Amino acid sequence: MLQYILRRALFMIPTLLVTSLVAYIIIELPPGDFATSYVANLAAQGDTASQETARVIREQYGLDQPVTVRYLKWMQGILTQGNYGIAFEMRQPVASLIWERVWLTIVLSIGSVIITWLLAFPIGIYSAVKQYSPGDYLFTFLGFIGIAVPSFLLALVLMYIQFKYFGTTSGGLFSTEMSNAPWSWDKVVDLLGHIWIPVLILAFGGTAELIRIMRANLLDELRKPYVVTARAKGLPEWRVLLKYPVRLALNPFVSTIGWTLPYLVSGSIILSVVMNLPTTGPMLLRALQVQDMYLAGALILILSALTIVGTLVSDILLAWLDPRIRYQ
Amino acid sequence: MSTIRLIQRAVFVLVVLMLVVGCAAPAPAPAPTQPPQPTAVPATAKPPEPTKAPVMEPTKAAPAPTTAPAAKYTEAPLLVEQVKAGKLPPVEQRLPQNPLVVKAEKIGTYGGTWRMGMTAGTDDPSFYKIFTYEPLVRWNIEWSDIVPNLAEKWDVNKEATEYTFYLRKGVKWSDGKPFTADDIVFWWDDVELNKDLAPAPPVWMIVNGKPGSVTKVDDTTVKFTFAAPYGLFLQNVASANGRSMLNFPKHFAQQYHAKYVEKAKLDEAVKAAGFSSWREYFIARVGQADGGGFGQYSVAGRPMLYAWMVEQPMSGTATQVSFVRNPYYWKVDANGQQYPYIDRLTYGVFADAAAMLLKATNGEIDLQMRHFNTLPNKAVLFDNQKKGDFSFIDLVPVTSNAVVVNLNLTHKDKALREVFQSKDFRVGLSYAINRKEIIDTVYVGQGTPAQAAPLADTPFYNKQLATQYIEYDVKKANEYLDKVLPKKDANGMRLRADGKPLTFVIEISNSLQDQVDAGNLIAKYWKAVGVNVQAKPEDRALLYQRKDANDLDAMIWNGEGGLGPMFDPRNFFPYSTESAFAEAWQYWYNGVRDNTAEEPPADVKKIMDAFNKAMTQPEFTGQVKAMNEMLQMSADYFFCIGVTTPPLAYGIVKNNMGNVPKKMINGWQYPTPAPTNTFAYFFTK
Repeated sequence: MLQYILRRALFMIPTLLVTSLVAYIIIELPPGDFATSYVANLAAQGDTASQETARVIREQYGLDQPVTVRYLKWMQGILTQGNYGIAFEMRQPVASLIWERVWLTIVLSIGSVIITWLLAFPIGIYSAVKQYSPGDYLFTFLGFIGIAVPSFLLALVLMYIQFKYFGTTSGGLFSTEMSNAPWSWDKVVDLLGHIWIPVLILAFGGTAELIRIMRANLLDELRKPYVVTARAKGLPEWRVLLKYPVRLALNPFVSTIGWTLPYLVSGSIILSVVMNLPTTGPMLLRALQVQDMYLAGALILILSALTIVGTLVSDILLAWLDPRIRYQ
Repeated sequence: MSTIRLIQRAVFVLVVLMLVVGCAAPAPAPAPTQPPQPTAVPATAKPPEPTKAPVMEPTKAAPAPTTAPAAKYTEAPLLVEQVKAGKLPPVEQRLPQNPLVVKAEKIGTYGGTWRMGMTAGTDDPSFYKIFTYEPLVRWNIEWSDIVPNLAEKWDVNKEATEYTFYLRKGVKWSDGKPFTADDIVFWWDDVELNKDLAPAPPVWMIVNGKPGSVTKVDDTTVKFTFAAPYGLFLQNVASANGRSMLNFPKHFAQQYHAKYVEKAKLDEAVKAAGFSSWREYFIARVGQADGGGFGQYSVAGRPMLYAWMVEQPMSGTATQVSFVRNPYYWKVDANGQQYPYIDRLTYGVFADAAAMLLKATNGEIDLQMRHFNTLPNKAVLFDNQKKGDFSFIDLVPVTSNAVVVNLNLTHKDKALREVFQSKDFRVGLSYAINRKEIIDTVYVGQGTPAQAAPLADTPFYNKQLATQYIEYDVKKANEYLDKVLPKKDANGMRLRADGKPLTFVIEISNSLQDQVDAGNLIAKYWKAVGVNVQAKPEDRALLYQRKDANDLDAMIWNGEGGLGPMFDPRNFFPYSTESAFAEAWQYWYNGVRDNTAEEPPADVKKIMDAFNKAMTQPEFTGQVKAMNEMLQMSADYFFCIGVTTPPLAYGIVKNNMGNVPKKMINGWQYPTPAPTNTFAYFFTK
């Protein structure tokens, strides 16, 4: 087991390097650079910035150097000093901009995973055991809605209802007084008061998916001979159920841990933009739009790293959970 | 049994994981916005020692509370409390000897918070246009004259090469330190001329290829000297260009500047703050040479000269930025009440304009004219006027035209260039456009057919430039086009002189839907007269990159210089990279001498000379006369094709906000609404 973990951990290093390279190249692909988009952005707002400004920006941020030089410099900064470069737009070190958002993203992500599991796990078992019962039909129906409705649409509907019938606007993860306050117990409470809406919205779609998977997997297992044997030997029904079939059906729960972060970053960008959540999604979107490449690169790199770590965790859990998995 | 344990264990692991993450979250949250030296400025910017006797107060006789100055000026309740608590000196000691008296339409009452929204990106104009427009001299509300601001008066020598400004005596930065000529000299000598901070000095301070010089005459007198006559200097100071000049409080900025701090000490501070050079550190804490960016807004309590100062600073994670009244603001109303009337400004930071729109319809935004105030959103806002308790402000655009087609007169393809350079060809295309239809379908009937020209009611109006070739006349169009390209193929599409089919692309920014719609119609009209054109919407950055590289056939953008053509004559001759119709000539005009540049023909050079001449006139009347000569030459040349005068833009304002004009000029050089005295806006009860 230990050897297995070590080997997996070693594999992570080249994966990360390749990811960083790919991320950097993707960010470089669109035409123009931060200076062009800065000028174009001002012009679209009816403002003008001279070409001189663009030239100065290019010079200041080293945009006139070749891509390879910039990539190597960037990697060197990260590896030797933990310096992710400067976010062009905010003129601040990338590191100081992103960590809070990364943490909030993780909290949101784990919160929604837990809610998803708490809902999907019992409902899935119920749906499988009581196949074709009214309850099963009800959850199946809800599940299809959950899969079909994109999370941002759900958020829009909720926000509209809130606006139309309660006269308040929602959005954000903090109340206005708390948004810039330093972290304190009050702020955590404030966060908990706001985070449940996006967590529930995000969990809704995921729950529906997992219910279907759980139900299908468990139905497969329930018909296998070992279950029949166990039942014939007079084991109580709940032990028959939980001892092996559920354990095996848990596989999809555990194996999706690693995907949670990328799902949240890519799948919830629109939700985060719509609900104005201070997570990494909107920041990444904005950074890509204005070609703030150190910021975008750093975000992609950190999220890839977290995804890779998440995959490792789910592999380890899987190996431990499912006896069919071999270490070699 | 083990199954239960297993599930228990799994849940336990998860809970622990969540707790770890949850608890770890607050810990690493950095405080990027705090200046490294805690001694610099406390977060709330209370002036340091209220006990220190101010200079102008006689040291022996303690002033009786009933002396004249005390009765002369009054202040906001928020500040009265601070004075009582001994945190601030009394108002008459904070105001300059001769505060600027600004008469507002109504005498206002103190208090309230002005709520706005901004986007998370390059949105420092949201601050600049509301309250950080405090140049040495400023525009009056009508945009017809220059009036005193931080400079009480100024002298210009006969040749217009020397400008002397006399600063208001006793003006203080928001931390109570005096504002002097040194601050302006610091801006020029240590920021703009410092290669580390600004690789090149700003273009508007360069005359005849030489940067001007800024010298201190005494504490309150500062002199600008140029190598040659520079008639537009005052206008530049009063406009967006002059904004950086008053951004650099020397006593604060020097602690981040390599010239004033020991290298080892500065390097340490730079490293501790996570930067890799002192330039980045300086820009993030003090500000940029061009006055843009967020540096000056990212340190709470940083000394400022504006009516409000930073309370909750701007940062990458901020979801709200706020500003609180500056106790040292140097303007008063007719009754001697210190401005501003409103206590606080708050900006919600939004990733999306739609979220801002929702806030606005719900009445949670008090006055705003940016981001969500688009023509398509007007109907939504109109329907929610009552619910949100707001009404509309008309914004008169300074732009000259909503849709300007720039054919690339300096095209890299010789054959196309020859066609585009033919005036008859452009005239023919202009006659072929059905402007009325574009106005009705794209601009809901707002606007009148027009070329790109200064608007009527300005001293720069030129009837020929504004109205030539704007009738919709297919017959005339064909007549003119036949003069240039008489041959057609079997489909009725015109052939070039070399026999190849004439075809080109009009590139349009996909961020401007109205121009995309108009561009498609224009392509349709032109095909009808045998000119094969495709309209191609594309990303703005790509469009700009192709324009700058002179890779375009044609491009649509809006026209500039409707009200202030001297600032941006881009449509009247090849003036800047924004003159998309002749990038190669423009490069030549701007002193570029590489293969992107090309010497223009003599008649174009004459127009350039005429503008240069206008620029050197010391008096406004002289400038107008010279400009009009230039505009007449431009009208005769006919560089680009305009479609319609721009539609009115709008802002929204809460019904309980006073002193807000119902109609404003909307510009950048006149940074709306700041010149209408936002510090005098107030909330009625």
